[in-house]
Amino acid sequence: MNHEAMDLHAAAYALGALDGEDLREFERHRAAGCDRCETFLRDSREALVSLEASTPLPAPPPFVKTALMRRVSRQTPRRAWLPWTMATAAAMAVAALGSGLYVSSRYEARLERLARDATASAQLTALLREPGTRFVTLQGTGPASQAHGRVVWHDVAGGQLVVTGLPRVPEGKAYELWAIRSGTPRPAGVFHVDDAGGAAVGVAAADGAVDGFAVSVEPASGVLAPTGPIVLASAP
Amino acid sequence: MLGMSEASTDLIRRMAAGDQQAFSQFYDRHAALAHRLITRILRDPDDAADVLQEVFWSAWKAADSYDADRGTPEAWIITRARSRALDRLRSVRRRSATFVAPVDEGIVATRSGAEQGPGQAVDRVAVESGLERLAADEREVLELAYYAGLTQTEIARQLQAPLGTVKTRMRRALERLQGIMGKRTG
Repeated sequence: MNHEAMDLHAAAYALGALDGEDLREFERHRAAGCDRCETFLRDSREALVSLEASTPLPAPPPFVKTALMRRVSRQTPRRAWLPWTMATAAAMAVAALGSGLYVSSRYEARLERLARDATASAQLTALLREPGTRFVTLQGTGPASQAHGRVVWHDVAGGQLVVTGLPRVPEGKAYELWAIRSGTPRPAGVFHVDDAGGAAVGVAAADGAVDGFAVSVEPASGVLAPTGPIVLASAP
Repeated sequence: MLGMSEASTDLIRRMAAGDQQAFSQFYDRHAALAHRLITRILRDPDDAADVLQEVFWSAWKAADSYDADRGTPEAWIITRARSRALDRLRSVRRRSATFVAPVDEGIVATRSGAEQGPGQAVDRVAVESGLERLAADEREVLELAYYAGLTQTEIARQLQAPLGTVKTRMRRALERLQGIMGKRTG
């Protein structure tokens, strides 16, 4: 590997200017792990941030914050539901224990799952109200051909991934979701499935329009480009 | 700087739990920085205000996806700001079908220092910051890539320079910038 070429790729990449085969080559190089390039990318990002911050910054127009806080306050009851449902689930478990009933760990797990499901469905409901929300179906591939997935997706707001029928992964591994933009997969979150092979997880927006999604088996800490087998993919 | 990043990381964690007060503080800390960058890219105050709102709204919604291992909160918000601003810039260019002209005029005006009307006010500030310490050809490629959103191939075409030359300049520009900014903050 000629690292001088990678040094040049890294600079163009840090500026968002790398394209074509160079981009694919550099993404493969990063996926293989390169401390030198990661350090350069991180230092470049920080230097570019410092560049903006190095002179006095005029305040942005006040109406932007007013509008944002109004939007946030309209949306908050939905998000505040998460602590509430979790607290309710915990209180029910504690009450059951206090009354002398034997509460198995399985029961508590079910309550927790119920709370999680309620949160996920609340987020889904809100997403469905957004104009521009679409559904992307994922089909199982290879040994996971029984698996199904669906992403309720909005290019600006992000979305929710729901999967069923995925086997548990070995210790140290996890499933990683990829958002495909212009043919390039970008990491969109790591998740595990429950005993029934299902999961419902929030997916952050990808800073642009997404063409499709895929799921692969990866190290549990997540990676920047797919390395393991693809188990779910959307139709091209 | 480290303390500030840690405090901002805590704010993002609270945002992920739906804490409006944390969002308000996060905005106050970082909005001016994001706004500066967005304005540099878009050069239109109305578009910039609009994109600024989109950036912080998406940060609020994506707070639970922030990973401190991948960068500081400042870098997180700045990356989102640049990306959204460039998306807007590209859609404006597509609509006006003048892909190259606005970029060219903007950068050339900054480089020569000529005719600095109100539209170039932001650039004048930048000239007084770290950018002026770069060689003119390094600064040019950095601005075309980072602020105008052109790819290396587009920059080479626009400057009528070999791709290798463009890439070498980018590397030199970032190495020098890291040195300048490292000395300033460290």
